[in-house]
Amino acid sequence: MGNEIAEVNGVAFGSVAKVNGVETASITHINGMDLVVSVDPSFTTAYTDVEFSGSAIDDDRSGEVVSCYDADNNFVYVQYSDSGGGGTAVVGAFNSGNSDIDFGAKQAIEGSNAFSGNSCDYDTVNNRVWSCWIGGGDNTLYARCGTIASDKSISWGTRKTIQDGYSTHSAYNQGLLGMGIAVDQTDGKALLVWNNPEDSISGSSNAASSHHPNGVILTVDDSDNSITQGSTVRIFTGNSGNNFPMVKVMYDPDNEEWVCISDANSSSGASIQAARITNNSGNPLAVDDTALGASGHSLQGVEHNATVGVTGRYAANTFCYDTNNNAFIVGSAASSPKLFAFANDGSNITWAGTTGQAVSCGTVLSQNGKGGGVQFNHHRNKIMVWGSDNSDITMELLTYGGSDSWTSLNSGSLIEIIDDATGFFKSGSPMVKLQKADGTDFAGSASLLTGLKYSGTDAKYCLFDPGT
Amino acid sequence: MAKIIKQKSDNLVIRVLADDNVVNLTSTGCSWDNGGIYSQDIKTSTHEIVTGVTAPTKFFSGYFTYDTDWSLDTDALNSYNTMADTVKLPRIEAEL
Repeated sequence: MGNEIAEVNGVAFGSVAKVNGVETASITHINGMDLVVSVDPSFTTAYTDVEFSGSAIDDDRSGEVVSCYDADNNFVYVQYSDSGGGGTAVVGAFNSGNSDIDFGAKQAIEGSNAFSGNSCDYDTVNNRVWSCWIGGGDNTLYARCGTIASDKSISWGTRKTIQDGYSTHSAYNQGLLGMGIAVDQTDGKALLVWNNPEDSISGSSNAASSHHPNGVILTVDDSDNSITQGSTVRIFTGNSGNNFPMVKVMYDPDNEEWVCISDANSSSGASIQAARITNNSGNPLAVDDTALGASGHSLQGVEHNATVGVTGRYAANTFCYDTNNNAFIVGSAASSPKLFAFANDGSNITWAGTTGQAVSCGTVLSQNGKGGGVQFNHHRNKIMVWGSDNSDITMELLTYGGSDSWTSLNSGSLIEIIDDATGFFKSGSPMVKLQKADGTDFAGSASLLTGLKYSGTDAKYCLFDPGT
Repeated sequence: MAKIIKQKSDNLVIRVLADDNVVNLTSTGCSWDNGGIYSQDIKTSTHEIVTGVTAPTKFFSGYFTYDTDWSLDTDALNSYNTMADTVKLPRIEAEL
């Protein structure tokens, strides 16, 4: 039987490092009885400013605030679009003394123009951070790779033009949506996905912005952080009834390949579908494109017009990977939004079912970016879902049991991230365990969430431990 | 009055700063805001600082050039904002 021990000699058990020289995490029995320590869900760092050199960042240009984890330095990396033009990053380390992140100086990624759809990921093979965005004078798609130093500065390689924009194609790059790049952590290749103006959807009413989702594989030269690219390849086929299809990418560490979700739907309207993306001699190859088939559910609605959903178009974290069950968890848009699960076994994509799990936290979407996110906490094996209810930003915690079986842990007592209906827009957070290879955690068992306070254009974050 | 950082090659203005903002432009990079922001792409070989400039009404980097007077690339700005309206992204506000 288990014994729930809250305190030892008046000290919260979670704060006790050792008992008689033994780390508490290693203690499984006391007096021959199983020890079950319960840890309540809690904010390690409550909703607060992303900072630079001790000052709040308050110059975001209403764009995504996305982040990744540097497992080499045990840093987090946060990037955002700058109100004066271009994009900026800051690098931070957790300070256990005040349970806060100490960020370094702003590091300019791009000096001018828009920084739309900005996405990032960390490459543990080459120890590099990858950034990509749509900007320049004509909506060009760019990528850049940098090395993070121990002083939280970044040495960037030359900006790489991945796809020319309007001046060349009379059409705009689109559909880079905050979760548009993922690194293969076995060989350091990065897959970038977006809607390519060279591959427009025939017959669409918005020809300049309506394109099929494409992918391209990028390689960094670690001598100077320069980037080379393979060929651009269509990975999902859209239709003229849905002008702005969505595509997002994650790396599947168990099958050592990429997985994408999309709503492109080759026949008509919008869908939810997933595909494996393999590296075919340096170019992406989409296989096993498999639709969910749950009536009424899509990722963002047709023409991204959904007003109720988990993330919609402009909140980045539409899906996550539950490594405890080898299941990808996808948030839908619908009158009653749900989570759905699918598995990738390296040969097939298999949706667990079409019943899914209704979401109880805030699900209000808006075209300017209101929406939540889905993330998996690898320390606690919990799914975290958040969003706006038009009053505040609330979070629900769930576990997935496989076979479309779900358990909500707090549907009746949601956790408030911030009492502000627009306090956490366009969030994009690390999808990996915040832990170094030697087992050193970034901030205990907490996950990092980053997002935008829309009304003040402030970059915000919190660290949250979903508990045992 | 303001202080600007601009590219030498085409007079593209990267930042408009207050006149008392301390800018440290070197051969390897540039910092401003008391060292709070650093760009490795802005260097003495490619950029220069001009002081005593009257700032435009609404500045956004990428659309303004400055030689002895300001110029705004309205074609590029309008093209971006047309696209932004289509996919419901925030418009870029810039004005001489």
